[in-house]
Amino acid sequence: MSFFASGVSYKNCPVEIREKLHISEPLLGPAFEFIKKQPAVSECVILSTCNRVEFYGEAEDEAGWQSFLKSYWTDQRQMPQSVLDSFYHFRNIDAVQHLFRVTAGLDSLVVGENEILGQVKTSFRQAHEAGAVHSVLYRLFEKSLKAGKDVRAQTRISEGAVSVPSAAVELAEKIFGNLNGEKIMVIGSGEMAALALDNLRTAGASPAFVASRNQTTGSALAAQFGAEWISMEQILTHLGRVDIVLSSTSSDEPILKFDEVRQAVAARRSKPLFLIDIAVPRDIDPCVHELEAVYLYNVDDLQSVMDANLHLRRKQIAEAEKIVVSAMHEFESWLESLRARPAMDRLETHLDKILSQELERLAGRADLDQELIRETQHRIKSKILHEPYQRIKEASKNGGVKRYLEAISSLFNLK
Amino acid sequence: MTSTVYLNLIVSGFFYLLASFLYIFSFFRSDSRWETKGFACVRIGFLGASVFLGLEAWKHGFAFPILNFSHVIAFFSWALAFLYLIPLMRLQTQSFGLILAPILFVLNLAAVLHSGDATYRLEVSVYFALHIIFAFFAYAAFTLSFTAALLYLIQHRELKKRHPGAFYHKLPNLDALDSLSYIPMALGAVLLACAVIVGLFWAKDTYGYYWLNDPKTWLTLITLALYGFLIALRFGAQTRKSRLALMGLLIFVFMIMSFVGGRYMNGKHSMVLTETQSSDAFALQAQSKRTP
Repeated sequence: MSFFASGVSYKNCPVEIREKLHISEPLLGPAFEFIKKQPAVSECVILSTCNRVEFYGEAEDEAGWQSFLKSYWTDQRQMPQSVLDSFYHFRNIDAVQHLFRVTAGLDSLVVGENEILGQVKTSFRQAHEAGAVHSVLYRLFEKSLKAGKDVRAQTRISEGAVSVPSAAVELAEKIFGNLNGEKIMVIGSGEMAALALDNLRTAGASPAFVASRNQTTGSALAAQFGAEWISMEQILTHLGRVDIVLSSTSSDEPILKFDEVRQAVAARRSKPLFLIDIAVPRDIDPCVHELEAVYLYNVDDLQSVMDANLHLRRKQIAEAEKIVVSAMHEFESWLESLRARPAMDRLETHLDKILSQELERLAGRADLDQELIRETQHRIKSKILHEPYQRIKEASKNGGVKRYLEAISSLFNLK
Repeated sequence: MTSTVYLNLIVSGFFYLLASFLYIFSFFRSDSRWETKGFACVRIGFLGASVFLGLEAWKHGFAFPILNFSHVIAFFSWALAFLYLIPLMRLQTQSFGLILAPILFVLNLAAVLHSGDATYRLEVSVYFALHIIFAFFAYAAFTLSFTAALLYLIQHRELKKRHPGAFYHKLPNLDALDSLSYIPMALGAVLLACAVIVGLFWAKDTYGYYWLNDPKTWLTLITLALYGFLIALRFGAQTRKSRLALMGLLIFVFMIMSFVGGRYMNGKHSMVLTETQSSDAFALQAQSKRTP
């Protein structure tokens, strides 16, 4: 039996193909039914996200695995055979390593992102519930999820915001600390503004005002976040009452000018004002950043925060890889000892046979109690097997199990 | 015996130095494990300094262990580490350690280098001991406040330049740094006020009058007034916090200058102890003059 990991990801496949290959929830049931009917595939987990579509499984051999993939994509999903050309394939330890790296976020578009950990967990649960996971993949995914958590806990690979909304939250927290009670004003009612507002609210800030030209969309956004809609003319009246301003209009003229912001800041006494300008062309006069208590960040500034965070994450990759390798070795060791099980079972049966023959003969001569015979047989067997089991356990850590198993099979003529 | 006792201070200084390297390493490697080790080293250093002061007190018949300039620095370093480790635990972050551990090392080094200074067997009154304790803990608290103010300005600058560097990621947020600067400052002001009040009673007890008209007393009162003004400004919430942090730095520099300067100024606070002129020797002389 071998492990396989096959699929496509953002690295080797454009989004146009990935979206066709995506296995949505309704397609998962039929997929697992199909898998369970495959004689060559014993276990399988499907991981389908916006960045990757991958199959992890245990199969008799590579031919069986390839044949399963081909029949699934061409027969089940009616895709052209050429789609398989863009698939990458990993086998055995490479497949294990790939899964561990994916779960740790080391193979993600944004290194160290947390979402993939949840996605792997969900995929594993779905496969388990569908009955497509047994002991080996169960252990593999369990180990992989633990390694993913360890990487995030023991390194700083997932620290720092790497999207515009989360960068806005990170900066707000660097200025105000806890965002509880900090009031937000949103200028414009675009999608990005809504997204950033949602992130800020989740972090504890209170949406207070939504200012927009279009009252319908503005009021809808305000109602969604429990804020008050105000017209563009009312911005200056309320500017002194908020701590964070998020602007994303399509206006060609600046919405907030230097003098207006200076007056608002003066009214706020010593409290700082955080302005986020994600509009292009910019809504806020860049000179306001010169005011001491004002922190103005435009799209490029937010990008530089994200770049710095990504750089910091990349510096953690080597540490994360060490955790992955260590977890991989633990899994390999477990797998090796698992592979030793059939041969050791045969040796135990062989010993049982010899011992029971000899002890039965002795029992007949000495009129011994059957219970005592069984107990003696068990003790002798345990003492004989203790050392070989220890040696195999040790060998499983450095890959020498196969040599021992071959020796045992050959010396005792076990088949 | 002296060298054996000072060995504790050398060991303490070694651990502060080690802590400094660990904090620096942790800062540049982004690895919090080194930070934990650095913090453990500061604790060991503090224990070493405590043993030193204890042994010095014991050696002089359980006298208050501030008998020469070396003791002055060692006690100040101990008070600083004490405040950092025990009552102001909120300060125990990597960034504070990064600044405080080298300060503690330098202070210990200076104390060791002055180990040859003359030591006097002095009878110290309770008022004098309390005056010294309040004053030194006040200076230690102001040092912590200074550290937080310095970090505030660095973080403010990082946020202002909009291209975050290493400090942006490692330093606490502005609001936390502002509190971390203000709390020790308020504590220091209260302790310094206590030191002044107890000092008045000590002067009365020793010299027969409350007011010692010497430069150090005036400088201390000015320092207290400046910190009081700064605290009032912060309460008033009219002044920008970055300006308050900058003012805090300047007042601290003034305080250090008055602290060190007091050593060389003539007066009853002079730390230059000579056979005929030491603060308490002077006091004892004065006492004997008053007693018929």
